[in-house]
Order: sequence, then structure tokens, then C-alpha cells
Amino acid sequence: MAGTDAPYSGLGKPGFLRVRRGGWLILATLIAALVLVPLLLLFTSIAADGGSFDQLSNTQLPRYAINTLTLVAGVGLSTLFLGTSLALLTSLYRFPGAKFFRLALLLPLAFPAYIAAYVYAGIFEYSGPLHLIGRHFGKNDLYANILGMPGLIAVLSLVLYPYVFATTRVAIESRYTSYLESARSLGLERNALIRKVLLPLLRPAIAGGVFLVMMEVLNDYGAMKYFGIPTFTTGIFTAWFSMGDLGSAVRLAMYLFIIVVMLGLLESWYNRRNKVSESHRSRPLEKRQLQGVKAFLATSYACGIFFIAFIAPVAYLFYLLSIADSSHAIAEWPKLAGSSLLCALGGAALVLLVVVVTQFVRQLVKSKYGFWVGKSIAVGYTIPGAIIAIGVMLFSRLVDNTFNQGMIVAGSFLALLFAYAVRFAGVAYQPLHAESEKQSGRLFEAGQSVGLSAKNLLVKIFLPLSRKGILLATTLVVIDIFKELPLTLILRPFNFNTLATKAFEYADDEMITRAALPALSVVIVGLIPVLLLHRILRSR
Amino acid sequence: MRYLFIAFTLLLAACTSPTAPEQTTVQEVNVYSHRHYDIDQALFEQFTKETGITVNVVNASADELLVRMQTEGENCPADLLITSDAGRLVRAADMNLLQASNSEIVNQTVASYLRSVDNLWTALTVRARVLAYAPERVDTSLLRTYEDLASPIWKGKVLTRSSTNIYNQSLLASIIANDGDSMAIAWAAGVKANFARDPQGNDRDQVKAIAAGEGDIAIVNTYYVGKMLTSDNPAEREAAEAVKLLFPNQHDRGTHINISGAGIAKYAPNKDNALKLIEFLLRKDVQQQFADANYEFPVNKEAAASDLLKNMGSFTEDRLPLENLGELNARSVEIYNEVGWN
Ligand SMILES: [Fe+2]
Repeated sequence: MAGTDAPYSGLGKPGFLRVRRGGWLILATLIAALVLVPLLLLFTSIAADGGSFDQLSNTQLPRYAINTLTLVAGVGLSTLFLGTSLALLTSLYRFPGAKFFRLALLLPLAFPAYIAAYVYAGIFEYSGPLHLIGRHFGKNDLYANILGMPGLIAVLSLVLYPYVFATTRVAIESRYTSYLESARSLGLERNALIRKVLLPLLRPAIAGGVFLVMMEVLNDYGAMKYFGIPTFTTGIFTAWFSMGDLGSAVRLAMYLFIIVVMLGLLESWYNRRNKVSESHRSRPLEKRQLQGVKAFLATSYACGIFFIAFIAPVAYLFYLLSIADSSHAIAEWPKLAGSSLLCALGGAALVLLVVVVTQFVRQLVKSKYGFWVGKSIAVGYTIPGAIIAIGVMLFSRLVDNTFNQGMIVAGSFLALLFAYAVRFAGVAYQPLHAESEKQSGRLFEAGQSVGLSAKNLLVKIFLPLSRKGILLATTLVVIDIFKELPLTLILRPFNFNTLATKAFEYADDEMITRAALPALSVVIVGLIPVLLLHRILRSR
Repeated sequence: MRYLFIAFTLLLAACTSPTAPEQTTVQEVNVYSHRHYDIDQALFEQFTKETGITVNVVNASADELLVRMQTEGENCPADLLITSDAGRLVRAADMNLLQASNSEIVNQTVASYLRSVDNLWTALTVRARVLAYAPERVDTSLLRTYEDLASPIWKGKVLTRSSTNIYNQSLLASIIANDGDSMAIAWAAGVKANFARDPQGNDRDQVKAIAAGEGDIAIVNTYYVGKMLTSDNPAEREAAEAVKLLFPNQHDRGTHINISGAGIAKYAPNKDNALKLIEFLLRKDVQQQFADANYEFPVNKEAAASDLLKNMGSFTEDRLPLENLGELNARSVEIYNEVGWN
């Protein structure tokens, strides 16, 4: 989340303009406050609870810490390797299937981590298809227990590497090409060019992708629990929900938050150190045709990852579906899919409202204050979903008690959408911020100097220019909400099930075959925004 | 900017009105339930058909539902809390989230150790936590009790899920209650020393691990084995057929049981309907459906266990008041943490 703001040094600012901006600034402040209040309420309620016991033992803490760090580092490193290598391969070289893999390798993004956890464990287990097939051919040892730390790192890496893949791909294809041009004109040979010039230039994008991956890892709960790895995240749940030990829960949340902030600082420090001023576009680096063995190896590598990360788990889900009694889920399917869609679209709309207004105002007022208002809304992305859920509950009750003496907001669909906004505004922040960063200045200032009203600036300049950022943000948020679990589970209204919650419930009841239909639906419907994402990335 | 406000107001109106509970005309009962089996949904529908009372359900884990009830306070729309263990009901009672109700039907149907002394909650179904073992590898003359699991002869043989799971917590709570605190610590440490692998996965995974030869003895709930034996997945059926079940402590206190149960919420807006639903769920024919679909033992003794359960053999259950499990839950978690049982 790097971003610095040049102090406003533009044209004159007539007084009347500032007054009219004042209204917008207030609106942005209100929106940011609305997003932050649930989190503040959480802290105050915890502070009020001051005396609550804290029985986190000295044996647990090191275990939580070691597991958390191992997991974050393990998944971070392996997604770094997978994502970067695949992005370089598919963006810089031509080999059989290269074009297809540029899309295909994004697809695992549609897999929620907890579903992937059950699926991979199921593929390899004793009652799994691998063993059954092996036995058929007289091989009796084709099964393994993958539960545990190495397995968890592998599973999470397979569903999360697309974040790194996508950010790196975008960077290779749209940005630094003119550097390459000039480096090339200096006579650098192509491989040296990639190694010495391109890779260093890609660092910020790669770091951004890895940062997203690490955030996703820290928010995961289902996969960690099933694989039997206690971390800060699962510790918070156990302490708070199972033991009512708020003191320990807060301490753990604090440690988790410290890790998140440190990762965030590391990322922005790293990016500032490696900052590349964006240059005008030029012809992208020409792709080189791979021949013979090299082409074969490239195709095998991409194909292998695609198979392991997508084809195999989807095929396994289809296999489960074929043996499952899905009558119940089939009857409910339209309702489940409808609810999922409603959550995703409604949540995305609210997220956009929050992010567009705050980013527009940041651009409009160009002050440090405006910048921080714009940035503060992103904080929810660093806090585990279940904790945000409690904050939103506290907030809904406050609203209900103040304005009507019943339950209108609490337990309503609106409260759920609101919670999505708190949690996912940070996801939309990044692309919109980047977009408005790019267009900062020229057109916007020109508009201001000819005295365009703020509304016209928004409608005629900001929105059209941010179109791609908005589209990208929407897509990312829709993908996230589609897979989302803890918020939806805790906050949903009566008689409300989504594909994701249904899949989780069956899996939680240890009926993985029946979970197949909703799980497969989450993945397949989730492919639509992923395909859209591919188009957006390509057109950038 | 005006459009933004209009859009926002529309969204607000669209979102709040249809989901807000209408308390005026419709007869309804609101259920917060940890149980999300298809059979529960079917039984709720049957209840609606018979009584005209609509059943509204929110499913989440019991822990989360308790926090939700606590946060919603007096506004909480829940009438009935259903959990799948006694510990959480005791905790709900401790948190002052339940209210007493006196029902002849409940008192007559449910044995006293299966409900709260203060009439705050009652069991709906019973499940036993038993041992599954590989018959060709385990000499059952050496394995009669839960206590035997801690014996060094089973080193590297014992399979179980994580201690964050309530079933294991309640099991240890019952050992604290029966054997005392220091014995319970020794037991947890002893069983941990016998682990075939780190605790992981769910109950079914432990049974599969026996079939895979990773260990010889697994701690599981009866109904999971029942469900595996009738699973959609032939490989799961095969794994379950390869193990035998053993009901521990038959010659002393009986096998540890747990329940799924229900309590009426403190601020229930439809208390009467909630009680009607409890009584309905305890009715003989309904209990029969629970037993047949989910392989749980009925609490209404007029209902028979499913044929599959009957084949597992009848057994003596530990009549320790379930209230105790809840009271000892926190201590049980502490012990697990002390001995390092994940
Ligand atoms: Fe269970």
C-alpha cells in the first residue's frame, strides 16, 4: 500500500471552491468514520471489559507465533516463486499453450482456501480417488496424509499464487517497457536485460502481490483448523469464542495486527526503495519463441501447475458430485446462488461507494488529511472477518438503540453488506488508488482550473478516468465476497444461506460428498469474475 | 452527489425492510442453531405444517451464536438456542442468555441428568463418544476404559482430533469429574504420549486413518461411524466396515455421552412457540426420525435407536449430570493446553 502525496502546489484555489469542497470532505470523513466506528467500538468494549482474564499460557504463545510465521513465510516464498516464474514465462515467451495459460493460471483464484483444504486432503486420503485408482492397478500405497504444516503451505500456495501471478503480469505488460527499450538500445542482451533490468523493476509489483497473499493467509481460518495448525488467527477464535477469554483474544489480535502492520511497512518501504517513476508506454517487450526442449519444459511446467491447482480439484469435486446424493442441495440451488450473487453485488456496490467517494475527495482536496481519510478505510482488510463481524454487531445495536427501539439494522441483510464494506474496502482501495494516482494532475487540475463543479469533476473526469480501476476493484471484491465465510456465517439474517456457507456446513458435518455441489458452484460461478479479471488485466 | 444519496437511501430501504422480522400477524419461532443437518430442516418444515408456526433459522457455530446473542442483548430475536453439546448450553446459561420453562412433557420424557437442574435447557438427542479400533491389531482385553488409552502399551497407536473440538473437551471434563483433576492431567499427558500423529482432521478422518494403518485406536462419536457406514462414498463405507466399535467403561461408570440440546432464549419474543417446538422435537415419531436419519440415540425412550445403532450393541451410559461438563469445560481446555495436546 505504498503511496505518497505531493503537497498541493497547483493553481490558485479560490475561496468559494474550497467551501464547496468542504461538503465533500465532510461526506468523505463521515463515510470513513462509518467504516471505522465498528472497529473503534470493538476496542472500547474490550477496554471496558478490562478485567477479563488472560490465561494464554507460555506454552501456547511460542507455538502460535512459530506456526503463524512459518505459514506466512512458507506461503509467501512459494507463491513468490510460482507467481513470478509463471508470469515471466507466459508474458515474455511464446510456447505451445502460452496464451491459454495466461488465463488458465488465474483460475485457482476462484477456489476458497477452506474448500481447497478439504479437497486436497480428500484426493490424497486413504478413501481418496488416488488410492482407489492405484489399487485397481495393483499399487497399494498411493495415499498420504497431507494434513499438517507442509500440506497446509502447499494447499494455500496453490490457491493464492494467482495474486502474485496477476500483479507481476500486469507490471511486465504495461509498465516499465520503455526502460527496457532504452536498456536494449544500450546493447544489453535479452537475458541480461531481463535479469538486470526487468526483474528489479518488477519488485514492487511482486511485493504487492505477496503482501496480498500474506493477508489472505492470516485471515484464513477453516483450512488452518482442519489441518490442525494452531496460529494467532485460530487462537483468537478459541480464546474468544470457545473460552470467553477476551483478554487472551485481544492479546492475540494485537500480535496479529503487529505482524500485519510490519508486513505492510516492509512492503511500502521496499516499494519506496524500488520505486520506479512511471513512464509513458511504449511497445511491450517482444515475446521470444521457445523451441524444442525448452518449449516442452515451459508447457509442462505451466500445464503441471494448472493441472494440480485447478483441474485435479475440480475433477475431484465432480467425482464427489457423481457419487453424492445432492437432492437437497439441488432443490435449494437457485436460492443459494441468488443469495451469493446478492451478497457479492450488494457488497461490491457499497464498497465502491466508500472507496470512490474517499478517493475522489483525496484527489479533490489534495491535503494530508484527505489522504489519510482515503487510506483509513483500508484498515478492515487487515482484521480477521469474525472480529469485524462482532464490531458490526456492536455498531448495529448502537444504531438500533439510538433510532428505533427494536431490531432493524442488527441481523439484517444491510448489516451484512455493511460488514463486507468494512472488510473489503481495502481490496478496492489498491486499484482505485493506483488509478487515481496515475491520472493525478493534468486533466483533473485542468478541470478544476476552468471552474468545473465538484460534481462535474466526479462525473465527467474522475469516474470516466477511473473506469478501469473501478472495474478491477469491483471484480476483486466480488471474487472475495463470493468466497467469504466467517462474516457471512456470523452475521447472516434468518433463513439465509449462500453457496459458500452451505458448502462449509456440509463439510463441517463431515459430509464432504454433499458439499460437492455448492462447493463446485462457488468455484464455477466464481470463474465469471475471474474471467472478467483476465480481460481487464489484458486490456491494461 | 444527490444521486448518491438517492441510491444509498434506496439501498437502505431495500435491505432492511424485507428481512426485518414481522412480529405482528405471523406465528413464528426464531431458532439460532448450531445443527445444520438436512433432517433438522425437514423436521422444522413438518412442525410448520402441523402447527402453522413458521420456523426461522440462523445457523452458525454455537460459540458464535452465543456471542451474537450476547451482543444483541434485549433486542435479540432468538427464541430457541440449539447446540450440539451440553457444554455450550451450560455456558449460555452462565452468560444469562437462557430462561427457565417448566414443561411436563420435557420432565417426563428426558432423564434428569440430560437436562439442566434449573429447567434452562434440555437434551434433544444423545451421542456416545466411543473407541473405534482395528480388530486384527488391538487386544480388547487390554482396552476396556478411556483410562486404558493412556497406558504405554498403546504408544504410537491412538488417533484423535484437535482439543479445540468440544467433543474432546467434554470427554476430558467427564474424566475430571469422575477421576479428579490430577488423574485427568496424567490421562491427557498419557494419551498425548500415545498419539499416532498430531491431532488433526475430523472424526471421520480418524476412522480412515485406522483403515490406512496410521494408528489402531480412534476416539469418535457414534453417529459419524453410522454415517460412514451409509455414506455416498463407497471408499468411506469400506473404511468404516474395517473397524469395530468399543463402548468404554461398561463395567464401571458407563460410556461418556454428550447431547445436542435446546434452551429458550432469555428475551424470546415467542416463548410459547419455542416450547411447542421443543416438545415437538421430543415426540416419539420425531425422535425416531432423528435416530434414523442421523444415527443419534433418542432421548425419548419410547423411540427406538436405528437398526444400525442397535447393531453396535446396547450400552450403559455415564449418568454424570451433563451440567458438570459445562462447568469443567474451561479447566479441560486448560489441561489440554498444559500437556500440549493441540
Ligand atoms: Fe458432530
